[in-house]
Amino acid sequence: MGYNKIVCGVTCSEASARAAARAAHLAKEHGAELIYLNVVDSTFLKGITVSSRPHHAEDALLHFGDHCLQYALEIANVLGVDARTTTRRGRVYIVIREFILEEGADLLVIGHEQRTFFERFLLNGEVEKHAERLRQETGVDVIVVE
Amino acid sequence: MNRNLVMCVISAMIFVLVPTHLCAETVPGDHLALAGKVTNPQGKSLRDARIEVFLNGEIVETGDEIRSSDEGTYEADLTFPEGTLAEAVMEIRVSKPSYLTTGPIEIQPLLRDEACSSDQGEYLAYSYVELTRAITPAFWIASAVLLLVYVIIALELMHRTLAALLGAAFILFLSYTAGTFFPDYFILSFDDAIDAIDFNVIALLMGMMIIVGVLKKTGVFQWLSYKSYELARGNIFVLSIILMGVTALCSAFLDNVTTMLLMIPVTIEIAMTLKINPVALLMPEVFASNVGGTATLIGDPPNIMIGSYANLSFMDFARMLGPVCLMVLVVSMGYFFLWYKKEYGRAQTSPDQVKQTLAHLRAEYRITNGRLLFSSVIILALTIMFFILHGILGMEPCIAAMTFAGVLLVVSRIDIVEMLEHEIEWPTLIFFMMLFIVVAGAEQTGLIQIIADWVNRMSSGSIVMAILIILWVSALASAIVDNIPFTATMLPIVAYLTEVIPGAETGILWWALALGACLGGNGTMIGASANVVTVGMAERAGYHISFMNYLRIAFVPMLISIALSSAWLLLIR
Repeated sequence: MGYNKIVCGVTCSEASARAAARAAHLAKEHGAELIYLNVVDSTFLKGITVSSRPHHAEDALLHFGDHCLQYALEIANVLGVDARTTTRRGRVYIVIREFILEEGADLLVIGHEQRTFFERFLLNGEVEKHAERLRQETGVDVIVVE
Repeated sequence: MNRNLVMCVISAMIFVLVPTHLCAETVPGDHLALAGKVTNPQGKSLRDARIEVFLNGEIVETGDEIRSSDEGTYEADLTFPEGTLAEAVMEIRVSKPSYLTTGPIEIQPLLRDEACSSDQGEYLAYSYVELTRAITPAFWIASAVLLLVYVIIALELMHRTLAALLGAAFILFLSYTAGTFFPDYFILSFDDAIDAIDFNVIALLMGMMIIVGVLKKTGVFQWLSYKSYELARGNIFVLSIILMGVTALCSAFLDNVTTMLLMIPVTIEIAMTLKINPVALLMPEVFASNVGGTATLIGDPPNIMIGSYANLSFMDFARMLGPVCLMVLVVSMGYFFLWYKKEYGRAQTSPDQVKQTLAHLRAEYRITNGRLLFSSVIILALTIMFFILHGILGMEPCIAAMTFAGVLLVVSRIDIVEMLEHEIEWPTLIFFMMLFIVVAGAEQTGLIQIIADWVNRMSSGSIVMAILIILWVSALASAIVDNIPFTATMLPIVAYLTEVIPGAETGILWWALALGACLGGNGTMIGASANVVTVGMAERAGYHISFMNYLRIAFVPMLISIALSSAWLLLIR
């Protein structure tokens, strides 16, 4: 099956770097357009007692995001793939879903660090669950890179 | 015996002090000046208790209701037909919601001196009344509301401010609906609710939010992180220690969440350039932040609450908590050094790389407004100086904070509306206010007293046991639940224990509460707001810290810090 447009969600983690590389490989293989997406999600601050307003956290996260996207671009460039980058704000799941639909992408690649058996048991494989939901709601293929 | 003595003295004083205009009363008849005091079994004055007077078993119409004042005292001038009081049986009955109504209490009116005219009898009576607690529906409802607010906050079922607001509103609404018709459902009066809000805490938090809000516009926090890296000269072990020290120092004077929020980005960036997992620097940093915040009056909200409630000064905190916090910080530096030794060993710190990173950090994390930084630091120093002078001037810390926050706004020319909109954490302030009301509901109806009595019994009146119970229970509880509602609940409990436990009058239990509530938060990911922020920011940057992982890293040093605190408190008690 061929892909025309690939979206890769990135953070600064090693798993994310692997995902960025995998997405670049796939883009090259299929001649697809590649977009690296970073989501600034400060919703975890909701309800924190004595905290600064969320915009301070968002500024910091935007700063990270630029680094992560830059890093992903470097990976793509090394592999000889042209990619573009974008940053969006909001809840990660919702933003990714909307972005995929907006861009008409047909593949989503995300990185996720390996978890221990205990963590998988405790967290009930949350990322896998979200990936499955995204598949169902958008109709695109989703690859989770560990 | 003592009480009788006190009554005699008070009666004698009334004889002397009651104005002679009673004798000049033109209305013929017997006049009774009735006075007294109402307290709870712990001797605390009870206000708003209702006093009914009975003459020969018949209720006396007194016009206005006789109620006890804020100090628990009551007084009334009553007139009876001439010659009534000489032979009459006078009784009073005292009632207050959440207390058992007394049976008829006989009072003995004493005839005043013979200076009065022959057709008038001038009498005086004093009665000290102790009310006993009653477990009423109000008790169960207020307890359930407090518990529910705790659960909602702990499980994050809704925003904590909304949870506290609903709890406070429900308590008052119930008191003025069902409570109006059925006193057993009356929890808290509006006056008591307003009195329960500690505006010193609210204003101090607000003032410090403004000062921090201006200070962080200068880029000083990020600059300090860069300077830490420069000072460490690429030595990751030294860097970790310096970062912990800087974070602890900033957190001692500014709120922990803001400190971490501003330190995290640069820390992650430094870690990334060193090719190590940022968590290895972030965990020691957030631990140090909570330790630093424990050391001062303004470092952590529980301390602000304790300081205001117990009237403890900035210097009291610095003297009693500063040394132990320093000790905990040094020990935790050693602990994290050992814990992350392997990770630190992986750092890539070649001279060229260090040079390159330094150049990058220097360019990125500069002081953005030197002039503003200068005025902010001067004003922060002045604010702290007036905190220190609290003992001499008797000026509440909030006055200094609000004054200098205002001065800083003038000096910095920052729009006050912008500051109020963006830097004041209104939901937090409202959370505090509502929480005070919810806790007051539990206090008025008796739950807090039951807990206090239980702690007193558990400690068998021993100060050592009381210190250890307060410290360890606070620490373990704060690792699980938000330490702000916990501290708010503990304040009246510790106040009571400070009065009844021999040796506690030095205020040692306040320090046990402060150390337990602040340091205990280090134990888990949800124990302190700074922890949640750190985990959240790290997660968004791609570095996951699971609940269990956090527990594995931080719980043991938290226990060590509490053990050290135990030793310290037992040493200084």
